[in-house]
Amino acid sequence: MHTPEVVREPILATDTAARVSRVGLSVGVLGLLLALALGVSEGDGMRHFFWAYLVAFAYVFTLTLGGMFFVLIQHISGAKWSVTVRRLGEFAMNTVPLLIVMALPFLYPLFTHTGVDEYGGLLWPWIHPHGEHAELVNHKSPFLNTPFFIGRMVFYFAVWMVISRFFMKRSLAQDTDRDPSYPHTVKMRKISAPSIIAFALTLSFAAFDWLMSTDPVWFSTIFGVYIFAGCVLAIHSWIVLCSVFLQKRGYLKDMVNAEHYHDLGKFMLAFTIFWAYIAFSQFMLIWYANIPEETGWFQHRITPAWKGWSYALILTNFAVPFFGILSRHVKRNKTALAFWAAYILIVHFIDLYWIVMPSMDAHHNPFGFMDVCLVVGLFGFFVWAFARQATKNSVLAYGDPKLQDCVAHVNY
Amino acid sequence: MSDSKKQFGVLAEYETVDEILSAAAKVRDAGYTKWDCYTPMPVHGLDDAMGVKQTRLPWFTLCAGLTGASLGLLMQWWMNAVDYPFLTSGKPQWSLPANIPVIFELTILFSALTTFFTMWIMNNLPRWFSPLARVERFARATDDRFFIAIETADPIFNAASAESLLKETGAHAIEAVEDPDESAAPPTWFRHALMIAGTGLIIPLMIIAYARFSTQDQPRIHLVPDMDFQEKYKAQNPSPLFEDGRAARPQLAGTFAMEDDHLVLEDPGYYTGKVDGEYLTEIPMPVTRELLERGRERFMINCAACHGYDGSGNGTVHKRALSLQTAGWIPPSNLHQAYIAAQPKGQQFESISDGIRNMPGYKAAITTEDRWAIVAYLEALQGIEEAGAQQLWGAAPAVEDAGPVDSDPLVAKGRELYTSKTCIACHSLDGTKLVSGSFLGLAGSERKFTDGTTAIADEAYLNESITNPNAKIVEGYTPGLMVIPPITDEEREALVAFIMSLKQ
Repeated sequence: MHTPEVVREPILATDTAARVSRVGLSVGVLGLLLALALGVSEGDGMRHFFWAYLVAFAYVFTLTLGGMFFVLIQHISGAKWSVTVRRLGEFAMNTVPLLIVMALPFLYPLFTHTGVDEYGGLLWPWIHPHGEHAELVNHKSPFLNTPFFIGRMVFYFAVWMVISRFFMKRSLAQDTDRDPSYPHTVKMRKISAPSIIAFALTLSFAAFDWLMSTDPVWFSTIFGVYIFAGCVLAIHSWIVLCSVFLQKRGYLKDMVNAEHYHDLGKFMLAFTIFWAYIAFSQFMLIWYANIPEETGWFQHRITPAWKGWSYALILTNFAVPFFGILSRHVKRNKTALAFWAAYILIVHFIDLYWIVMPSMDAHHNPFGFMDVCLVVGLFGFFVWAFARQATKNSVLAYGDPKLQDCVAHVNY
Repeated sequence: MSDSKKQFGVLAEYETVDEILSAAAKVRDAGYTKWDCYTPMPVHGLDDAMGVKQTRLPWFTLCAGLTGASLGLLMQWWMNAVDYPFLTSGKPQWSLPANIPVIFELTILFSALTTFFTMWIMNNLPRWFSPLARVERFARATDDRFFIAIETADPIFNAASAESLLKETGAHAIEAVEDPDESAAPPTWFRHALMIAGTGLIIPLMIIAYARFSTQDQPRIHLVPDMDFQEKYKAQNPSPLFEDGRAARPQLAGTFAMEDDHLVLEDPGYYTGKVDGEYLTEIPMPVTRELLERGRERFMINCAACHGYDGSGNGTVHKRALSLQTAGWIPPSNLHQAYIAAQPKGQQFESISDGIRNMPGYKAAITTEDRWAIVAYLEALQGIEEAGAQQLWGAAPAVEDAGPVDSDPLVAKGRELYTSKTCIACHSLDGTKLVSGSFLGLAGSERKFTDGTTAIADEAYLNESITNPNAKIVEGYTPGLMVIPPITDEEREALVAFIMSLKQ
C-alpha cells in the first residue's frame, strides 16, 4: 500500500487562527476582569484570588511544559508518527513569554504584607512563616525565601525560553531548507538530549516551588513526576482537540488520520494510567509509613470539606477516562477522541485545584465562579498566544524529513 | 499432479507487497475462506485485503484483566480480613490501599498471560507440521518472496479454478502442494525432551518434601542474604531513623483514628471504658462462652508472656528478668491481687488499652472487642484462683485477702499507697523476699549496711529510705534498684505509718 508523495507546502490557517486568537484574547480579558471584580468583592485582601490564580497559572504552565516535553521526546526518539502534529506541540511550547507575563502578579503576594495578620499572607505560607509550623518553615528558609524563589523562577523561565526558542526557530528553518542532509533536524535531535534533562529538572523544581510549597512543611520527591504526568496528559489532549478542529476547518486533511489519532489516544490512555500510578505511589508510601509530617498533606484533603473532591478525583481522572479511552475504536474515532480530550482537559483542572486549594483552607472548599473565570481566562490567553503563532506560521512542519513516513504511518 | 496422492492446496508466489495485496483482495472476493498469506515481514493492509475480521482478542484481555483485579481484591479480603486477621501498623485489617499493588499486578498478570495463550489458541498454535514446509520455493517466504496458499479444505475448493484464479492475480509461479499425510503430532525428540524435563521437575518437589519432613542441624543456606538480613527496624531494638530510637513517631496526645472518631463520641463506654469520667462497672456486652474463649486466647497471646498463664505475674519474661537480675525491673502485677479484682471493669479495660506503669498500651494491637474479652476472661481467671488454681497451674504467689481493717486512717491510706505507688511490686507483706525485702517486721529491726554500720529501722530511717534509697544499702541488696514513684510528703508519712504498723 503506497501513500502518494506528500506535497511539501505550508499549511496556513491564517484566518481561522486569527479568529481563534481574537476569541482567546476576549475570553482572557473578560475572565480576568470578572475574576478581579469577584476577587475584590470577596473582601479577603485577594487571598482566594491569588490561590485560584496559582491554579489557573499551573493549568497554563502544564500545557506549555507539556508542549515542550512533546517536542523534545519526538526529537530524541526520532519519532515518525508525530511529525504532522508536532507543530501544534511547538506552538504550545512557544508560549513561554506569556507564562512569564502571567507570573508577574505573583510579585504582589511575595512582597506585600496584606493579610499577614489574618491569614499569614496571601499565597505561599512560607513568605511569612506563622502558626504552629513557623519554626519548621523558618528552618527551610535557606531554600524557601523570596529572593532565591524569584531567582529560581527567573532561571526556569530562562531555560524554557532558550529551549522553546531554539526548537521553534530550527523547526521553522527546516520548513524552507531543502538541504538533503537536514542540518536543522540533526541539530535538534542532538540538542534534545541535554534539553530533556534540563526540562526534567526545571519542571520538577518549578513544581516543588510553585505547587508543593503551598504546603511548606510537606515534601514528596515524586511530586514533580506527578505534575509531569498532568503535563503530558494535557498536551496530548490539547493536540487532539486542535488537530480535530483544524481538520473540521479543512486544514491538515491528508496529514492526520485515524492512525495518528490512535497513537495520540494511546498516549492519553497511557498517561491516564501513569497519572494514577504516580498519584497512588505518592499516596501509598505516605499512608503506609504514617509519619505525621508526610500525612498532613493528605489529611488536609480528606477533611469533610475535601473528602468528596478527593474521592471524585479517582473516578474523574482515572476510572472514567481509563474505560473511556481503553477501546481501540474510541482512539481511532476522532469525534469520540476529541470528546475524551476535552474531558481530560477539564478534569486536569480538577486535579490541579485539588493539589493547590486544600493547602489554602483544609476545612472549607472555596470553589466558585471566580475559580472558573480565572482558569478559563488564563486558558483564553494561552489560546491567544497559541493561535497567534498559527497566523504567521504553517500548522504543519512541512519540511521535516520524516513527513512522508508520518503520513504513511500505520499501526500494527 | 497425481490423483493417487492427497492434495493440500495450491501455492502461488509473488514478488512484491503490492502484488500480494491485490492478489489477496481477489482471492478474498472469490469467496475463499480456507487460505492464507505468507510474507517475510508484516505487511500493512494485508488484514483488510484478506478480509480478516477485527480480532476478538481484546475482549479476552479485558475479561482476564477484570478477573485478575477482582480475584486480587477477593484474595486479600479473604486472607487479611477473614481467614487470618492480623493487625499491621494499626491499619484496618482489610485496607484497600495496601491491596492495590497486588490487584494491579494480578490484573497485568492475568491480562498478559490470557492474551498470550489465547492468541496461540486462536492461531491454532503450536503447529508442528505444515505441508508447505515440504515445498522448496516456500523457504523464500522467510526471505524475499510472498505466497498465497488456498487449501483443499476450503468448501468451494476446486484445483482448476483455484489455479486459474491465482494465475489471474499475476502469480509468478503456481504449484500444487501435496499433503504428505505426516502426523501433526509433536516430533519424537520433542516428546522425549518433554518427558525428561517433566521427570526432572520431580527433583525439586522431592527436595522440598524431604526438607519438610526431616530435621537439620545445619543453619539454612542464605541464598539471598540481603532479604534474610534486612536493614530494618527490629522489635526491642533502637531504630537508627530517629534520635530517640523509636521506629515511629508517637501519636500526638488525643489522637485517634478518623473512623473511630464518631464511635468514641457515640459510645464512650465501649471504646474508652468510662462514661463522664466514671469507670464502667460491668462489661458492656453479653459475656458468652465464645467471648471468654476469645479472651482466653487473646490473654495467652498478649498477656501471658509477662503475667503468666495463670495471671500470677510469674510469666516467662518476668522469670527471665529475675534470672538476669535486670536492674530496675518492675515485676508484672499478680492479677489475682484483691485490689485488681476489685477494680471496675472499665478501669481494667483502660489499663489494657492505655497501659499502666511500665506496661505499654495494647490499644493498637488488640481490637476493642478483644480487650473486653480479656477483661471478661480476667474475671473468670480470678474466679478460678478461688476455686483452686494453685492445683491447676502450680504455686502462685500468695494472694492477699480482703485485707485487715486498719483503725488508723493514716495507716489505711498507707496500705492503699502501698499498692497504688507500686511498692507491692518488690516488697511483700507476708515475709517473702521478692525483689527486695518484705515490709513485714521491717520496722524496728536492725539493718546491717554494706559500709559495716548498723541502724534500727525507725521512722527517720524509713523516711530516708523512701526519699533517698541509695543513702544506705543493706547488706545483700543491689544499689540503684529502687524506683521512687512521685510521692508527696503526706503520702510518705502515710506509707511510713503503714510500714511501722507492720512491726512484729
